[in-house]
Amino acid sequence: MRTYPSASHPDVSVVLPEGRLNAEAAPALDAALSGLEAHGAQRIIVNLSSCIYISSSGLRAIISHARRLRQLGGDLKLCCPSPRVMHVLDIAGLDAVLEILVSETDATDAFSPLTSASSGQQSTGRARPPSGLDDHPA
Amino acid sequence: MTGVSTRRKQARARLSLTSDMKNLTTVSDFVAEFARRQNICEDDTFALQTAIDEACANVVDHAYQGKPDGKMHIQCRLSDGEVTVTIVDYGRPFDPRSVPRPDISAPLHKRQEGGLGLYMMERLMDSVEFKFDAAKGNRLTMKKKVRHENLPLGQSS
Repeated sequence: MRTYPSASHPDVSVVLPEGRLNAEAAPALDAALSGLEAHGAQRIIVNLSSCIYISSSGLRAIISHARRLRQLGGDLKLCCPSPRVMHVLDIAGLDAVLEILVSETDATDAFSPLTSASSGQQSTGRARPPSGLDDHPA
Repeated sequence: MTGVSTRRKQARARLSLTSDMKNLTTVSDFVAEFARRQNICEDDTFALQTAIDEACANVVDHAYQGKPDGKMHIQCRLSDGEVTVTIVDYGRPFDPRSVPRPDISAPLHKRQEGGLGLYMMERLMDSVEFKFDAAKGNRLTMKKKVRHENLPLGQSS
């Protein structure tokens, strides 16, 4: 599990879970998100590019933190899901309540500028057709 | 790896293990190996892995309430293009009818967090049935019609 600030938007934090995000691994995601929030992060991206599987436990962590961040005026976005992970997100209906972008760059850009009054808006956009990953962290 | 033993027979595989959450990865690998041996396509393998992972996580969390020393027995069987998965445990039974299914059309602030695992099992598998018996244990049976990967010419399954 890696966390890092976005290279282009330092006010956006990125969490990169790796491997299977099952019931055993979900607490680590929850802890990573809680840690970022404790340090004042309100704009968080969960980059799913290294995630080969996501369970209901992982989804619950994402839903819980997204809800909390929106209450604080922030937001949580997802990016880079594989087609099979995207299928799970679709089954769970997450694509209707969270923005799921094809790249980390797109997810970062999807956050409103700091000078804008809009933030924490419920998004209904679905990931565009995959065009490959970019901005993958070194 | 904690408390795992396996037996394998043509078109059937069994795995016995303890209710340690760390064994979920072993379960996933077991399903992948069974699917590979039966030449099941990757999409259906992923669905089987996901549903079985959810079911086992529920056994650990709810049947055994997080205690890692409970017994679980998993069997995968392929017959006439259909995989039957059986999971037996000896923990606390539960009534699936008592678990509300999530409203996936609800806005984020109204989303209930419970019931998602059971819902995913029902979406990914063709059927999900629970039977509870104080003496024989709790038995979960899931079934799914599966597709096979196309084999290169000259190879047989």
